[in-house]
Amino acid sequence: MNLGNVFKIFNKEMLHNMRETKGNVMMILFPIILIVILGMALSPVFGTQTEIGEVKVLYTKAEDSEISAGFERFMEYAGKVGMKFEETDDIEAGVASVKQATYSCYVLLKDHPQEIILYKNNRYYFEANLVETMLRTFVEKFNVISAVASENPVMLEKALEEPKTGFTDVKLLNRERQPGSLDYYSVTMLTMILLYSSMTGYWSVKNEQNCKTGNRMLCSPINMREILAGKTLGSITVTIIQAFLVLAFSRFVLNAYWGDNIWPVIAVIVSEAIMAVSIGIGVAFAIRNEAASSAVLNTVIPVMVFFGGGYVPFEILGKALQKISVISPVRWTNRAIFSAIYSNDYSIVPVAVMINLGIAVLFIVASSLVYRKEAV
Amino acid sequence: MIAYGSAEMSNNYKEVVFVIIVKIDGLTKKYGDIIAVDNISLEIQEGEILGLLGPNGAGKSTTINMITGLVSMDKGKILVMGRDIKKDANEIKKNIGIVPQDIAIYEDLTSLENVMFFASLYGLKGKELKRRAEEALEFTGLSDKAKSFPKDFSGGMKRRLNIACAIAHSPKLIIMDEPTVGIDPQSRNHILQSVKVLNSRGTTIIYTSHYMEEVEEVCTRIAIMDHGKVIAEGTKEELKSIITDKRSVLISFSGSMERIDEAELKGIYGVKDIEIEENTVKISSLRDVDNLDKIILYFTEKNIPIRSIESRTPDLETVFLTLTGRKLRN
Repeated sequence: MNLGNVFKIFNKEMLHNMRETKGNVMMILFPIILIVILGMALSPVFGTQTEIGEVKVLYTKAEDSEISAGFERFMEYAGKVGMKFEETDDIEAGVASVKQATYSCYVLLKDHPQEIILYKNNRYYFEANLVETMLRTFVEKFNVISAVASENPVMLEKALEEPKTGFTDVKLLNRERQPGSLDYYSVTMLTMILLYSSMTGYWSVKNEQNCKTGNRMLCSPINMREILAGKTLGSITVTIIQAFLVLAFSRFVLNAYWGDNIWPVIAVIVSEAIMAVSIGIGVAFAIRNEAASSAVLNTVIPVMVFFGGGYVPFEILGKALQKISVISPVRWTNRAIFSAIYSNDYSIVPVAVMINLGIAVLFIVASSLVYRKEAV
Repeated sequence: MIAYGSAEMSNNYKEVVFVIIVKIDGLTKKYGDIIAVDNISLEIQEGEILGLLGPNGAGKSTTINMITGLVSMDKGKILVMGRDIKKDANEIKKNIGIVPQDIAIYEDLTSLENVMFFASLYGLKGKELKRRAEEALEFTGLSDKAKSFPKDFSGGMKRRLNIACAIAHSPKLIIMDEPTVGIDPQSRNHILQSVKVLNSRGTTIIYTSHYMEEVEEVCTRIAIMDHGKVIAEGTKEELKSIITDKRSVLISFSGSMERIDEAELKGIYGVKDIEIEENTVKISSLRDVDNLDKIILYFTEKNIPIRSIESRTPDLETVFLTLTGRKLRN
């Protein structure tokens, strides 16, 4: 592949895209307007003022079991961060109290088999999630201790003292911050508009087909892969520039919170831009009919954004939809960004980046194969 | 590919070298059950303007697309400047300029940017690229529009820019596919003159057109295609000689032509073809038969007032009609 040729195509793509005033305005202004409108209109839905001190947890524990002993330590710590625990022996009443939203959540500890069941009410969305996060850490710690105790009892004391494996890791939770509506929609509208940038990739191919310039390029001594690479890179670059303008506006003008470490967020954003442009290019090659291919994109994108929690926080929509949501790359992108910003949890970032890049590779390979069919 | 021929000039024997720039041998292309190009063979010599004539679907564009490497061939061989298109496509493409039938330019790039972009794909760069692009614009009469966007151009100007994009890299072979479709006479004349000038500079040109008069004006050799085959090939004179057994008269009328009976006219000895249009009748007769007096008598007896009578030598349209049985623009 001749990089000089790739640069020539890239350069031309940049010229096209920079002169596409309407498209640029739409890709930048549209998400900003939506952030402002949704951020203001739905601010009551987001519990930005929720304090951890208001978290009331009801629990039922198994008598004298290992897990109950561990849970005592959990409550000791959680109490320090403001959670209040009340015990009940009546399991049905415990579940009912969560249904009635009297408590943020209800924890049932079982001994045979050892398990913890968490009942939560989405009315206390952030509080219940906080308890869940802390409990998960506790369970991991508990499992580690159980394994050490059965395999090497001598090490048990050390394991208990090891600060890094303790559920006190919950301290990483930024309890000063929960996403407000403006923060939430700054992320989701950005990831939404990034997915819409598949149209940038789509039109970069369709315009060549419509202007008949694609064939003219193929008649020149330039490799088909060089054309594809130049076009893809050009569209991705423009998309990333647009995304950063939206991000900068939300950060510095709207004061949306983007966390202390922006780089993992940028990695996810860039990977989504690559994926979106590749999807657009792939669809443009795969479906020659312009109306049909455009309709496919305009149908699939909103659905993916919806499943990704782009319009409303997805957690409040129910379990069935949550299960389906795994098909949406936007869901992984949003989760990775929110976890990175609000939990300093970067574990989903590589997953989201890999999903996005995987889809991108799939569509670029498909485009390459279809393009090859068009040429000699 | 160099082929040697000989020619006798005056009393001296002189060896003339014919350089074959394109050699097509047994070329075939099928789309499903449809044979778009059917086993054609053709040679194009350096410095020629070869006219490819044929109705829609004759196989002209498919042939051209195979020469430019845009469409793969099913059978046969294409050598351009001695190189096989299958093996040295990129090297061959460097020496070809294509003027596609559909205008292939970017409306949101200026004329100069358009020409510079396409020329850059052929390896030109820097000042040389800009100089050649400006020359191409000047050649096509668009130098004053270098910084203008084609979206504001007339059809003729767009066609000229379409040509400029194909010539800036100074190709040895230019393929022009219907370069004058839908433009005003002034732009058409400009383009035809440009074709002649390019050819006078040594460029070989393959020129397809629906317009017989254009082909007659600019082409040094003509190949007529129909149903995927080359059905006739030669100079204008050679092609016309195919049908020299006929001559035509064009009769114009000043009154009603309703009483003309085609069957009766064909009944006149020697008459072979009749074409009736608005207020004219074109009658082709066997060359050796003198039947003009009988034809005039027919119209006089029918009280159809004759305005003028014009004797016609066969043109390419007649050649095409004779060979294919239909008009070029059907």
